[in-house]
Amino acid sequence: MTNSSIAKSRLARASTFWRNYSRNKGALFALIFLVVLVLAAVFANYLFPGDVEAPNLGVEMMPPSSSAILGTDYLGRDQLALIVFGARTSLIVAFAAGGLLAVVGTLAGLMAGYYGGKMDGLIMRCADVFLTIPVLPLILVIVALTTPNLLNVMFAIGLTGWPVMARVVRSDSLALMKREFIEIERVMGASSRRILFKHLLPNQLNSIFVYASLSIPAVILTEAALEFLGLTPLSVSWGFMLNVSIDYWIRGTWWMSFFPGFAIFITALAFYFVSEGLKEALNPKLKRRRESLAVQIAEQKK
Amino acid sequence: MKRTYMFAALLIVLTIVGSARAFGQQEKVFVIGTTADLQPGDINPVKALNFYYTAIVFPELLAWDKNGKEVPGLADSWIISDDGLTYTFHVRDNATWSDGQPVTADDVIFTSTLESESNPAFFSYWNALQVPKNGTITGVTIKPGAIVATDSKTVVFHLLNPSGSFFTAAGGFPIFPKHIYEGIDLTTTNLDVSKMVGSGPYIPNELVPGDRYVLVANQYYWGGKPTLDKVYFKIFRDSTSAEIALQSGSIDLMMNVPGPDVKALSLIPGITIGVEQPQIFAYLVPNFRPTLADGSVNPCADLRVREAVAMSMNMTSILDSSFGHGYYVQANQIFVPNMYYRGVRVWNDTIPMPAYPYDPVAAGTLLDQAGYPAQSNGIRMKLTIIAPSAGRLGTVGVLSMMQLIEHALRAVGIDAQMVMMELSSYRARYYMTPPKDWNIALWSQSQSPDPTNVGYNVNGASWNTGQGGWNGGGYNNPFATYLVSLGDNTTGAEQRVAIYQRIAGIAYQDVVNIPLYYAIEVVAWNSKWQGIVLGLGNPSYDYWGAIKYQNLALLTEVTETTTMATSAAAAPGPDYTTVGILAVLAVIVVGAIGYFAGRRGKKAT
Amino acid sequence: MVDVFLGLPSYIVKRSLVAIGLVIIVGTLNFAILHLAPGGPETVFLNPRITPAAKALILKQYGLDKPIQEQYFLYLVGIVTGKWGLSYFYTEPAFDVIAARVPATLLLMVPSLILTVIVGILMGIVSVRRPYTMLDRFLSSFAFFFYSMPVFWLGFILLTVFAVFLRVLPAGGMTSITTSGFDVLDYLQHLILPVVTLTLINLANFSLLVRSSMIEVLDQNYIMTARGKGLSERLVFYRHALRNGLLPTVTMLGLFVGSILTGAILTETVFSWPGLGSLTFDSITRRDYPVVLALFFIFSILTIFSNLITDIVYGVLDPRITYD
Repeated sequence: MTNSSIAKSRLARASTFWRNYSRNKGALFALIFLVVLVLAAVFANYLFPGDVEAPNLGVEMMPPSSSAILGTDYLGRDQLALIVFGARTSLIVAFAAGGLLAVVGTLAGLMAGYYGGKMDGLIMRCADVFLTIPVLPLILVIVALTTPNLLNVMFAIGLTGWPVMARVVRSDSLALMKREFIEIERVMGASSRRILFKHLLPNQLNSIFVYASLSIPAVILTEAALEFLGLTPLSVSWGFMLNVSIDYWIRGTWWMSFFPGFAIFITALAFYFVSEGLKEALNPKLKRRRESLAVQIAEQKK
Repeated sequence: MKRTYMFAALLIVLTIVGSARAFGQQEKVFVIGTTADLQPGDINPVKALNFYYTAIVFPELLAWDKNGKEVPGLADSWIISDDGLTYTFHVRDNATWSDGQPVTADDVIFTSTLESESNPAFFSYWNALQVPKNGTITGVTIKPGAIVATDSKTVVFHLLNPSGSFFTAAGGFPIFPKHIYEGIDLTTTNLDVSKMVGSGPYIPNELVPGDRYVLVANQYYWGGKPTLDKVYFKIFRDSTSAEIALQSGSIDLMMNVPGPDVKALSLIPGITIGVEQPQIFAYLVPNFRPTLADGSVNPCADLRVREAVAMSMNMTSILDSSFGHGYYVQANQIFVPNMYYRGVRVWNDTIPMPAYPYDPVAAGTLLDQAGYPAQSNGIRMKLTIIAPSAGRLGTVGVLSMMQLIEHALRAVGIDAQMVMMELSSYRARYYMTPPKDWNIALWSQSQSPDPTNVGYNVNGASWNTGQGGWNGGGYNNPFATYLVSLGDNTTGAEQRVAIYQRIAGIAYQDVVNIPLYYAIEVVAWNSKWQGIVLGLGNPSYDYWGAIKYQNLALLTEVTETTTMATSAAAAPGPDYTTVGILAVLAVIVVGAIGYFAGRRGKKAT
Repeated sequence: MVDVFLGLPSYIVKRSLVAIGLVIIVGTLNFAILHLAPGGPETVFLNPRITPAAKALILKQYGLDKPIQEQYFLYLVGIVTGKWGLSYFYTEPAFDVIAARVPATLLLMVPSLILTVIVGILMGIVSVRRPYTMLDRFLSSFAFFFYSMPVFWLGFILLTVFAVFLRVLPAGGMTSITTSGFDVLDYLQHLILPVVTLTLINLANFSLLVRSSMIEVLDQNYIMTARGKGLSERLVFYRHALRNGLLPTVTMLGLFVGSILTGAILTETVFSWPGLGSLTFDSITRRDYPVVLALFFIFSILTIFSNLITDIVYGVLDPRITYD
């Protein structure tokens, strides 16, 4: 194969992917929204110059108006700016914890699927332990016991979420292991590393990617819950804004609770749609089964 | 046919249930809403850390009027000898426990001994009578013969040395029934609530932690049969739910209304607001030790730095924003304005108000002089400030205040990092073994008409600066320490007050702490209730400054002409245009989702 | 057929053994956390001038003065006998503290579970009877919507709308303050909002499960066979649809326990419901470790055993499962 034909086939695949993906209008809009959100978060400093966190005495708790589209909070700060800055925390944790979860889960699943036998049993029992301990309380304890900083939160969420990914990767790996080309490789004496990383992994990349993106809404919600419960450090973040807004609720400052919560909701929803879109684009054969990934994952738990 | 029977049965059940409900409401009931959680240990004589809830059940020997002067409580007369070493109390002749037994001098002796031996929090109140003893939890006991009952109602205390605090401490302590508690190991068991016996107007009947505390009237109460049949304490997780309950009429009175919410509540017809004289002093405690736990220099050990910190904050505008104008009192010294000792005002009015002027320029100069010039990025030093996210100060307004303080410090080049944590980890950190890892801590103290405990803010004795001590910052000035022990042992009211005023002056000069505010305790109740009196409570411990138990026994309702129905209109509502727009948006969003979610399925076939 | 009979009992035994093993592991983990955790009863009881004698007494009370191996052994024994330690905050046995709150949580969970199952199955039937109509699309978008919604936000909005703006429902708590005894209407009033919140969130997950397995119903051969036999289409449909709705219900129950406890923590906090969820949160923030660990333990046990039961029921119901 010549370089140009490789390039052409890659291009062709990319455009097929894009065509399939954009068939799902919902996923398309969600992707656009997320891109805009990420851009806004990255360039927040330019969009809102000055110190957004600085208190503005005199305009505390003003309802939405032309000068502050989403109202002001208890220190007089513009909520729109706070929400955009807060997106940073949520997105960073979402990607980091989601990534950690995916990496650990994939590795575990690959090893379980490849080695089978005792290794498989061991890994799956570990996964079972994590699955039986209820997630939120476990995270609460971890975060409460260690110093509250963002890193610990990411670790806590990432480390409690890997079993589901591991199960999926494991069953896919098991299925792949039975295929002929793997048999041939083994007979030919290929090293474990080669089989794992050149054959098993690349063939599953699509589904791994899809499942990872599906886990992100849950990560976002969990992280928001932690902030809401007051277990993360003080910083501009959506869940924390919700937390504080409760104390001011009696004064009818509904905008302080509504908008941060809405931001959490719409971001989680967007990720969900994107993952659905990815699923359809990457695995066109699965289109015939009309249930969603959530269902498949749930069925995996049987 | 079957259906008809079922329907009839349902109807009958509902009628019975409904009528039971109506029947139940014949009792006269008063419901108090509070956010302070309550658990069985709080009404255990040796475990309670405060007597908010026990005061109604176990009245103290003395009570106090609004000038801080003692008046009869359980005791109707008392004599103090001229040398201040002998105190005689006479228990009321008609004081009776709720099971009919009389309250006697033996109960007083029992209480003093029990607390001296088993209660680490309060045993020091009888210091002047104690001798060491092995085997008790506290390591001491009352010296045999120091407390004597000369007849069934008269008890005499023979002090071993003069003590300025004894009278108010021991006189202000709840008295527990000997015949109920004797022989029970209270350190490991809590007496069942339904078995409790008390001498106050109401007796505990039910305690569900996190939910409610129910008291029923005590027919034997020496003040006469109480007007209410039951008193409920309803426990809320946060003040907002309590406020809503007050507005809707489910509770009759709410304690500890956060300052910022008072304005909204006062606009509602049918709700009366009562303002309690301030008794909580909130302040910043600087760390006085030369180094922190990580070995770095602690700038707050330098007086100039402390002064600079104090001068960089415009407390008036900070407090106005956080608590609302008029709902706090700016602080300038360690004593609250209504600090009285036996009727003599302790407040030192030579200390200026505000204590340290708002002058960021002068603050900068002081910091330069102290050796902390501004670097190229404008930062002079980094300080760690710790604060609790709950507890006595609550969160409403405190978070805002701390963030404004942080901002003010940044403006003079101090990079202040505030760390907020929940109460028990906060206390662990505040009391950690020195060297500490924080520069400034937010602290608060509940005061009462006796300066003893406040004085300990400046006592530099090692037990006091270590774990559990009053002086968490570690300020060590031998003269101040001497003054405090002198104050302990002086009994004459005027002399004692003079000593403590001196102490306040020293604390001001040395910036032992940076005063922030005196909290106003606001109580709100349904206007249909008459006879609610707010006043000073007991001086010796965290008291419940709101309704005095004597008045709780006398509350009456005006006939219910005023209803709470009008309050619904006055409650803050949403801006309907905005809500309307949002609702339309929501519908569009849902519809769009539905449309797109459904569409993809179609393509599959 | 013979296979099934031989396989099932040993399958059950195997899964049960695994479950017990998990229980022990979870218990050990709990114990480790308790002792690694910073702070302890002294922290909670800190008050001015606590004497060393008092401190020693507190340690003795909580059994913290014994060597660690002995403590571990006592802990394991205690789990079985129901002695789960003394709560730091309540100074009552953790078991009693928890037992007192169980009814409240059950009161929340059971109606929620029932509602979820009933509404979910109904939704599934509608989707399958009339696929791709506006109604179907609306119902399935409903699932996406509530899957992404933060529980506490939803609860909070409902609370604001119904309790503050409209004032038709109470603002939290389980009962009105002065009711004693069992006032059904009062309980119902307080139950509505939290149950609705929990149900909506759980429906999101459940309805997807139901929908998928019901769609399978339409594709299966046995339906065509049944039709061929001349049975009325309606009968065939409902019988097989419901039966297929049963399988995901069982799965759901297993997942439900876990998600309920998570959702309960947040919901109970928002609605001030005095159940196990708010106890969990309060105990964690109060560093009341014995109660926290006891709760963990209960949650884990419940999850383990509900998974076990789910596995077994599946084994019986679905002949396609092999026993591995």
